[in-house]
Amino acid sequence: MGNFLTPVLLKLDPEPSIPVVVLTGILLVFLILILLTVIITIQGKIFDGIAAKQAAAKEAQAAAASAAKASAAAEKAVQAEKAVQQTAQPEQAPVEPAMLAAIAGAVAASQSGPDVQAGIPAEVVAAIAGAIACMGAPEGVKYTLRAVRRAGIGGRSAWASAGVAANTEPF
Amino acid sequence: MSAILNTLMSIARNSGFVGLAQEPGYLAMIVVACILLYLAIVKEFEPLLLLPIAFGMLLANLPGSGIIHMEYFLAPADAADPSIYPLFNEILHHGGLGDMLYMGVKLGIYPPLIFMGIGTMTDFAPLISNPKSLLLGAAAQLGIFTTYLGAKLLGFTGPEAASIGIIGGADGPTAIFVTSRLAPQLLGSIAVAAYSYMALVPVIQPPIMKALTTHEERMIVMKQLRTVSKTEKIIFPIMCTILIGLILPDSAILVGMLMLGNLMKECGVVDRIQKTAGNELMNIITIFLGLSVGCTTSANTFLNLQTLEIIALGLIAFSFGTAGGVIFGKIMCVLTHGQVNPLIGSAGVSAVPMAARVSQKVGQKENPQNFLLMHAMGPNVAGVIGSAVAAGILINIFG
Repeated sequence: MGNFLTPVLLKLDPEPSIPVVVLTGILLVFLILILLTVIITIQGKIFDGIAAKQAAAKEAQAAAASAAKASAAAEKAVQAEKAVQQTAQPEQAPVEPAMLAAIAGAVAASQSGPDVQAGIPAEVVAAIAGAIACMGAPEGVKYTLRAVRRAGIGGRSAWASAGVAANTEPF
Repeated sequence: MSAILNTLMSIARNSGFVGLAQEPGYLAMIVVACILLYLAIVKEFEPLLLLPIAFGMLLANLPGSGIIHMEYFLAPADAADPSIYPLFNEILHHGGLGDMLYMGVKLGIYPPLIFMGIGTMTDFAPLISNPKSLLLGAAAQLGIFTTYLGAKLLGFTGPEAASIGIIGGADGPTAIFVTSRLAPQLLGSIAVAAYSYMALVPVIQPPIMKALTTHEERMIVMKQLRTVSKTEKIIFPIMCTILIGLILPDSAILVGMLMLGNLMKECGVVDRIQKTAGNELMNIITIFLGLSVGCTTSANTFLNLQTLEIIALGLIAFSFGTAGGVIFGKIMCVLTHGQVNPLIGSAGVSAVPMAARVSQKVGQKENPQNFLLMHAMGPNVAGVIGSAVAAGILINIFG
């Protein structure tokens, strides 16, 4: 049946005319790519919305965490001041509230960790902090790591400089 | 002594020199092959494809080499039953290296595999962040259909005109894919024209871009593109494949393999096979494709008026494709109140990344602080999708 019909169908379905091919082709290319454009635009808006929500949630979390830390530090400072006042001389004036807040802020800053430059891995910071903590232990001196920053390297690296020094050191 | 002389005479009679004397067309094709080798090596005209094509041409036109037998693939005009071609039995039993390699072209295997490799090297982020670029990619396919019109007016048949028109897509694998299906007798001419013009994009495009745009339009600085998340980059190839494959099944293989390569790159969990697809596999297929396409050229299929017409039509294809993209870019510039630089429209021809670089260069000549490259990459990769869609349409109509 198919073999019988094929010649008939071919006669009924000749090659389309030039304008039909040109117009159909251009139209179809545009329609398909317009459809893709619309879908990608909608997808982009959905993902932008999700990203904005996640960013807002992160910001709110970070703000709540730092507020909680500051209030906990302020609470500790107030309790420490009360303990000092109980054992201190009666002539001593009570600590100003502003000073209490400054102390609380400084405590919160020190508890939040050193100022680390972006790009430095946490493991490196931990290793440096551990080495510094061990440094003062024999003498009973406590060192605090405040900041970790990359030094500008000009010329030779530390290893290269050490190698040159080792090879050029006089006997 | 006479036996030695007879043997020497027999060898001489079977030498290629006798073949050259009998068919001077072979000599002409050897000269053409050498010219193409010069263009590939010295002028660096798309050498990755043009060199194997030129060398395949050289090998196939050495008389008696037997590297390929096009009579096994192409039915003669007076064939009683054209449906029996290609003659697979003859190819398997008597075929040469070129016959075996050409099977990959004939069966449509090589171009999709090359598209997969292209997909591993393509970044769709500029397109996803600015989806309107797809429209510029669509507009640049105007070159395909205007060239089809020109070819029909010159007397080519519908399938031949469609194969010549696809040169305007500026996409070698797509041109080979369509031509091998619709007009395999023109494969050599179309492949040489397509890859030569792709190398000439930096020469052909700038005058058209400058003629169709004003100084103020060329100076337009476009806004920074938004950041695209990894999830979007993973969803894009899957969504494209499903959508385009369902609407136009004939383009599913090209678009699908392009998107497979891209998905392998973006998902980040198949690093090994992504590297293979983009490097070793693509290089192997490039060699096979170039060599086998070159082998299809012979004096009677290449040295004729048709080849000159194809070369002329190829120039029209690229010119109209560039013009179509730039004009649509101007329309978008007006509709967006000057937010789109029309120069990026010319990048809609899918010569990645050459066409995008041309947009960047022309824009920077007007305004040295203008960096259009990433904005032009959107239409550039959209053009790859657009030309694959156009190929599917033409195969659907004429296949």
